[in-house]
Amino acid sequence: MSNVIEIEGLHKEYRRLRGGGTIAVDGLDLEVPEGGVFGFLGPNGAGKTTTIRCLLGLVAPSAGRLRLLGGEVPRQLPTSIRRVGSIVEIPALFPRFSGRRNLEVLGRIDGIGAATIDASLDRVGLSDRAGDLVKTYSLGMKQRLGIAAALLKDPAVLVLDEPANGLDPAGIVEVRQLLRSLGAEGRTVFVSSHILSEIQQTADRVAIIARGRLVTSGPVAEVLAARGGDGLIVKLSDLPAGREALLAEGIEATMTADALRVGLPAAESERVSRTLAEHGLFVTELRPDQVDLETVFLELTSDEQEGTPV
Amino acid sequence: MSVIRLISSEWLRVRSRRLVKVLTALTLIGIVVAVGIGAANSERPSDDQLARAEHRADRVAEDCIAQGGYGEVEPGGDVEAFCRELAEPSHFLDESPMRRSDLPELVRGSAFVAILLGLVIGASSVGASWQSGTMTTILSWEPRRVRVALVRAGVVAAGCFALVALLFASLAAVFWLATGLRGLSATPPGWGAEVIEVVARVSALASCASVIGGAIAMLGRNTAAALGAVFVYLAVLEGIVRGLRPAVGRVLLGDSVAAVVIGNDMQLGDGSVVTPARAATVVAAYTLGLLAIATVSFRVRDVH
Repeated sequence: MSNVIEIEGLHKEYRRLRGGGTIAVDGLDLEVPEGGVFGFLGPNGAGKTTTIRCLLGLVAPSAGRLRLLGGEVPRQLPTSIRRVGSIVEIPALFPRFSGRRNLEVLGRIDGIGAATIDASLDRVGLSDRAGDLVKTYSLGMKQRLGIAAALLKDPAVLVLDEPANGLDPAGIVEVRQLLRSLGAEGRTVFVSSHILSEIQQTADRVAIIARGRLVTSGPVAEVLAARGGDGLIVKLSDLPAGREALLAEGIEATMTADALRVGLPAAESERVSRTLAEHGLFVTELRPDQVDLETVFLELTSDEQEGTPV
Repeated sequence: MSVIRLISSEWLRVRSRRLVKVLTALTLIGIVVAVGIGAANSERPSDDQLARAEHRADRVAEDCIAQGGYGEVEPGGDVEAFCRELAEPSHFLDESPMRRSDLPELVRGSAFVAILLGLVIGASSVGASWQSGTMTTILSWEPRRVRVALVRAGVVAAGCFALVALLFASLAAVFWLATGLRGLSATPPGWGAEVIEVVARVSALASCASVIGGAIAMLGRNTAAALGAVFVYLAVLEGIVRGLRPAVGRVLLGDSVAAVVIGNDMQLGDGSVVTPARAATVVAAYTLGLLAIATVSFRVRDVH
């Protein structure tokens, strides 16, 4: 599997006129393989948007190398950008143009015709409102129009910065479904977000950055597994007796405030249940000890501070 | 090919802008109203009134010729032609009707509005992109910033030239009609060529103003800042410099624009003369200089 995005030693420092500055990205290394949805996570000020802006040639890195679809940024960006759709932060659209006119203005840059524009509008469910001024659109509609604009190029890579920002629950679900379907088509959807539950439900792989550096990266399941969590949570009325029973059968179990954490995978939950029953103990709850992305994220970025003054 | 597509996109953007439509509509309404008021206050003179005016004009012309053109004609110059032009019969009418022959002066008098129009359209076409964030969107389609900046300046400049020329054509048409109905329709020889020349000069100035406005908006990333900067520069800074050092007027933008509008040699406060060609060179230098600075700045600065 080849990488569509490669970032090596990216460093970006915003200098102040009076001296000093803020390091937004500090030696970031990142590889994004082709296909699927890639979640790019980090707390506010971690350098997500700066990284995306560097990738799209909007911000000049202080140091480091970036490659997008195999082309060096910014030297070969004019070629590679033709297969990259993007939204940086909020979708920046012409507010006094209709949705369709917005897409026409952008589409002309790449010689994209009316049929493709119609198809993009249709895909994001905006065909009925395409003639209305964008300033009358809700935030969710603007997000969808931004995605329609990004889709005009039939992109191999979509770079979306916080696409669910400001959306209501229904809008979030719509965007989630759209991202999934785009990833399933073989496109690479590189999506930054701080809505971790969304990323967990949508992304195939994630990277977590903090203080401008990569903390962890890989398939979602691997990132979660690396933080433990491959066990069971058991609740019953007599926790000490339950622990004794399990230990007697050679099953590792630790007691928490209201439950037992058992060191067996979910596939062996029947064994746990049976063992306890054989000792006259009956479980009131038995479930996989799942660590969610939010927990992992918080653990990894717990000492995070916004920016680093230099 | 990609440049042509970018031009096409930029042209669609510029002509779709509400500000352009509103300013065009307001200017057209202004033309119709102003010429209409002029026509309402004008009355076509009777044949008898015209005959009396021609008689008076003849007498003045003969007197002028007899006195050698009142010393205004340079040695070797055509005294009779000078005096006949001086003693234009319509000037000797008791009432002063609208004269079609005044159209070139009307265009010169409207130059300020045309240049302001160019400045506002140019500044807002760039400033609005920064304020709405659409510059980011455009650059995510065409990351070659120098190309984006120059195409944008070129399209806005060409658009402003065409728009101003079109508005003056509208003015000419309405004025033609009004003077035909309620004024004097006679025109001197070479009048048509003069009208075209003046319209071309003023349209070119409006075009330069659009580039200057756009360039300053590119530097300040804001429309209001650009308009404010131009106002402060022209009204305050150049005013002070002109007052302190009149001779510097030949390299000031305001004086140079005035000389191009007039189309003849213009005398400055210190007695020196600015030719239209020199003035046009100064205006072009300001325009291209600011465009170059703005383009380099756009090329190197981060876009947020």
